[in-house]
Amino acid sequence: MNTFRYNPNRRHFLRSMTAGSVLMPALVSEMLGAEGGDPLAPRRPHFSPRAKRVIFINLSGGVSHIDTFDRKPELIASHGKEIAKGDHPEIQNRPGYERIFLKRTQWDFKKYGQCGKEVSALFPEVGRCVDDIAFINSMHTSHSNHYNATLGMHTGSFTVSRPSIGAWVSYGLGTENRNLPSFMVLASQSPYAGGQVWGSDFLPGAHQGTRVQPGPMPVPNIAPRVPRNLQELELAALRKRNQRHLQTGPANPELAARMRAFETAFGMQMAVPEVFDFKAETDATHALYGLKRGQANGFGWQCLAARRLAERGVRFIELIHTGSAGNWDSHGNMMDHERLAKQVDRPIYGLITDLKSRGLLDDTLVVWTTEFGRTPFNNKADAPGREHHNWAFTTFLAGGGVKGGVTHGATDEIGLKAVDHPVHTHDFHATILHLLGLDHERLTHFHDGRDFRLTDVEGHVVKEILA
Amino acid sequence: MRVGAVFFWMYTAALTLASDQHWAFTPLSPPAPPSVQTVGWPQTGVDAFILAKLESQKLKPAGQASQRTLIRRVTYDLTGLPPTAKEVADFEKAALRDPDAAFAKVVDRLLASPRYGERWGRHWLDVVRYADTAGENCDMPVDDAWRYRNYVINAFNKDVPFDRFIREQLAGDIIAKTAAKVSPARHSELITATGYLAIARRHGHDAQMDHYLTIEDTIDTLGKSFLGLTIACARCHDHKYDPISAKDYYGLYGIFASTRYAYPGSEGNRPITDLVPLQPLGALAKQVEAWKMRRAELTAQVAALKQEVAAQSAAFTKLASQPRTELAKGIVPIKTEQAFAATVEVQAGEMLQLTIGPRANYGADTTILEWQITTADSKLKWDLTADTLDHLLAGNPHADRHGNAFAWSFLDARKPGVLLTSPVAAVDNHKPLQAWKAAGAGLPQAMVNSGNTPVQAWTSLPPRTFYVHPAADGPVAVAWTSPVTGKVSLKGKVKDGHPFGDGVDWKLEQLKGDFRKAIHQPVQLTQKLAAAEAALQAHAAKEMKMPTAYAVSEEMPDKLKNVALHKRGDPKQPGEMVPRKNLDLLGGQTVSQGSGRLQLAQWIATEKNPLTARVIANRVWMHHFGRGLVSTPNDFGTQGQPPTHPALLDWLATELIRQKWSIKALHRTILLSATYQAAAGEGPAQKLYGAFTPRRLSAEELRDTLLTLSGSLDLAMPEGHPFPKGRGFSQHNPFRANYKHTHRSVYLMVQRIQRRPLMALFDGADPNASTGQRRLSNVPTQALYFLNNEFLHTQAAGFATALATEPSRDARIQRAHTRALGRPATDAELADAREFLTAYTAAADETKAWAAWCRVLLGSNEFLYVE
Repeated sequence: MNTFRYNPNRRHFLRSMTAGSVLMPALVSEMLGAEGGDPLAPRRPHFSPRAKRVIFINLSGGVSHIDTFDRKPELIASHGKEIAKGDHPEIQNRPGYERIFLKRTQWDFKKYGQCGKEVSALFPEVGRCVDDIAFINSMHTSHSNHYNATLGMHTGSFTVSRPSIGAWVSYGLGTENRNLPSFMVLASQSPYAGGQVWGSDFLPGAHQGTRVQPGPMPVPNIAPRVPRNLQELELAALRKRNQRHLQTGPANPELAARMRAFETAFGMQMAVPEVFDFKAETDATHALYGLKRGQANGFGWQCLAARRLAERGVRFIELIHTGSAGNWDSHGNMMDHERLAKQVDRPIYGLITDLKSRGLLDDTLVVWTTEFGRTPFNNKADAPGREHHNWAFTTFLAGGGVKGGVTHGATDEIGLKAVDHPVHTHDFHATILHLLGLDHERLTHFHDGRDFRLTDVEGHVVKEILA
Repeated sequence: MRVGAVFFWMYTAALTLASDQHWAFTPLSPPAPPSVQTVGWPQTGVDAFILAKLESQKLKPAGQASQRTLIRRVTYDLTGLPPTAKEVADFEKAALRDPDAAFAKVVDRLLASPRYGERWGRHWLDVVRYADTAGENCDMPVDDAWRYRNYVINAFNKDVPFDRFIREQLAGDIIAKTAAKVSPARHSELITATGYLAIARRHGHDAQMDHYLTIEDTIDTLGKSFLGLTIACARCHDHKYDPISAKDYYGLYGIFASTRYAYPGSEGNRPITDLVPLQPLGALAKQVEAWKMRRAELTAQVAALKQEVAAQSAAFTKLASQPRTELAKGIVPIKTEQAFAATVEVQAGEMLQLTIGPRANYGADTTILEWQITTADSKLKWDLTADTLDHLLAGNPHADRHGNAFAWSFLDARKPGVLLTSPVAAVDNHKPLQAWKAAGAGLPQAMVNSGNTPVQAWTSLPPRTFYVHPAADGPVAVAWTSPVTGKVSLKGKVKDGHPFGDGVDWKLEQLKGDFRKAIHQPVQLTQKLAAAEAALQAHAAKEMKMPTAYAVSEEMPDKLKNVALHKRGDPKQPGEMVPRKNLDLLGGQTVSQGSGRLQLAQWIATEKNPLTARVIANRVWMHHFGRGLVSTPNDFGTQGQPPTHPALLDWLATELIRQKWSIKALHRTILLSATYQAAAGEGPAQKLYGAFTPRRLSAEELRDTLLTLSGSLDLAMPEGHPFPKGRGFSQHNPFRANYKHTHRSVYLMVQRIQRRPLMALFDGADPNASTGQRRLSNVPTQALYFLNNEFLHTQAAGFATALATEPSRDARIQRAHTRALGRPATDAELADAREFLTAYTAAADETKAWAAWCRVLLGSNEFLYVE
């Protein structure tokens, strides 16, 4: 026997208030939100944040530090000198690598900005922004394989999958814009370790990254298959059906939340294509990113899209340059770096400059990283390429509470090891969370009988680069 | 009443426990169902426990759910599919007489359905983090993983007692070796069962090097799946909360370090090794011996036939190579025809051959032939077209209408005495076109259009006509071998059949000698030979695919080993050696045989171990009610949640053991309770199971239901996936695929480094770590799926089409409600539907309107939630 239960409560009041309209007004959605247990509801950080959102630029394959932002005169001077093998993970028991020799950079460096940061000819445009950037020249990481190091850079785990940093940030802060996912990944190719890079793992599924691929359907299922007037007819019928069901059954916040989700989804169909439609952007803006009008691919497209997503309150935006192939992994020839740098240098400059001129850089943290660096040696001094190198690499941060014009930490004289203030990926993560007002030791999730953290049991905030 | 049966049942296990404080580690205490005050409601032991707790809090249970609600609830619960309209109607009818008996019958029917194992097997596959790929840097596909998946599904369907299920998964290979009598099917099943261990996640560039991580994953899953313990916490140090020491951890570690895992290959170490043959080596040797004998037999057959063919062909060639008498000849220019006629004296067995040859150009030499022969007394007649047209492929030589099997033959006339040996059933895929051609070659050929209409092929070929086409380098011929001696008159026609090129030449010859035997044999023999060669090839291929499982086996005796504790979990920092052993918590016995897996299986799968029965009883309860009595199904340790109804949990665990670990019996115990059959509700009573909690369909249920409604669900049980044969994957170019089929979702290919969009969106299980309970989300991107997903639109349109067989609009609406929601539409809903369909049809068209209305139905909360 089904009993009819009716409680004239707030829910019913709200429902009847909106019964006449096709779509619930956003306000009511917000009011219902608190009851629905929305995992993406905005949440307060642990302390006052310097940044509200992150644009995480990930150059895949291993960008050489000594050819970009970590100039090593001693390496240039000692070119061709044989050094001891030591226990470098990439050359143990590797045929042809019985002896190794130092290898100089082939690019000139130039001083930029007030701070005089030395930047190689690979990144002349980024060079123009150095006064807004804090470089970390003493990065190091735990694994010299792409897959493991990429997983580590994203999840803090170098072996098994764990939630991505973007998922952690979404979990910690929720979202500012319900018409867009809180964590979006702009990637034309799949990265090393695949979807684990943006996975939510044991965190609620709502925090997983939504991958955006340039094209007619940037977000899955976003393009309507019926004209809008017909879709409204369907949604109205659906709402009527759901309302009737809601009133005849026992109160269930999940059901109301799902009704709200349809309204949001309807809005997303407009909001998402609008983000990726650059028509309203001026020619000057296009030029800033090195983007041709109408062009809907390339890193300039990714960067401009990132600014538009940032403006609309997306919490964590990752831009992956290349993917698991055709990337910065220049074993064969370092000249590949030149080709790839040309694809990203101008767009990154454009992004930082554009964010700054719009006042967005103050609360948007731009992160530039790769999974590891490249060896300052090879088995022949005239070998054209460089190998994987997890002992040292460079990353940088800009905006969102970061000091500009500084370089933190240093490698030894030949760029082999991070020696001065070494910064591990765990420390890097702790610093990013800190800028967002999150204490990496308090941002935890109980799972499998214990609390888990992005930084595992490690991590120190790099206070020196905080503004 | 079954409660009575356990009333005096005594628990006698004498178990030493490391901790006597934490509830989960104490022996099962089989309580009698408590007495309650409410009259009428309780039906089973389950109800007594639930009611006692409700009463203690002054709460009342909800009434019983409606029959329609109930059958939809239980059908999804046990099979993951909606009930059919007939099942709903039958149940409602039967329930009028005796609702309890009717419901019990439904439960029995569902438990007996193969669909049951597909649903409940999937629950177990969640727990064991099943995947079809290895998960190391290139996520190698694992060809044989499916065998374990199907084993699990079959085990649930067969109601394999749960203790046996545990033993098989941990040590099936050892049981297969030591058991007295094991049939081949059983052997294969036991080997396959250890896929439980083999499907552990692989890591790194060289997965052999990183095997320690695979062992860690094994121990983690072992603890969670069977014991509800987070043993992995003891990898780096003694467990902070539970009585599990690092020594316990490395005691188990040694057991798995003494076990050989099937290896899927990886970028740094490619060869696939250690797959386990499904049959024992002895049987294998016998199989190989039998295989070799058969191969020898087939090889001998082929050789003998080859010899015979050669001899027969030689006889025909020899006879045909003698001088001939030319009767007539000519050239047929394009778009023309030439007739011929003659009267000839023949001996029985002599051959008349009509030969068509190319000229300078052979490309458009399709030629129509007509040829009639009559005896002088006009008693016997032959007609090439009429004799062969409707059954050209019946033979070459081809019989006439008088029963002479050798009468007509079709020849490769490039050499004397060679028959066209290969039949073509549909030339260029045109069914009416049949032909004989030379083996392996496209031309020459003799062909008919047996149909009643012209065939548009390379040119228009008129109906009911016989054709030949010479080769580039020589002619084709049709021959008549005379069954009679005496005068025969011939007439016929050679006609250009393709108006391009330069026409053909032709001649008619008489060949002396008796061809009747010489032409009769070769083609049949050639066909026999082809069949024998194909059989030999198929047989040879069989050996290449010795069936194997992705499973484990015991290490060689000299490789069985204890391991040193890893300090801080780092294998590079060995500490003290630890003997292979059971957890102290469960007795701490050391291993005395082999790797110790069989003993471990026995230590786990025993009624003396209170965790095992509690953990599985809780899982079963959880899937029926949406939450466990212990809400942390993988963690019964001190960091997990305590049970809301400890006595009930122990009673269920005890019942499970009493019913010989039968999961199906446990289902009945739970499903036949008033608690399970309660109406959905809200408030404090609902939290204590006084009312049912509605649940959302899982990703699999959603997809399977959509396929069911559109009539496209394929209920066959598939095997493996169409993985690429080559395994040149790398971390730069890992394996990635998203195979589609219309089988049930449990059979979709599961990958470790990328998730299926549907599974990611609707909270499917994590293929990398044990999922005790799926965490269901409710987000706008799911609503987008219902609005715009292509698969959903296709299935909704299919559902609409399936409704079209109903006679009226209202009947369609009613049927859709019954199928999707398990109930008819109300008057108000009927009116709404009519209104919607009219408005939508006016704005679009009727087909689109029905598809749209079906989407509305499928988008509704009532559809997606089971009450």
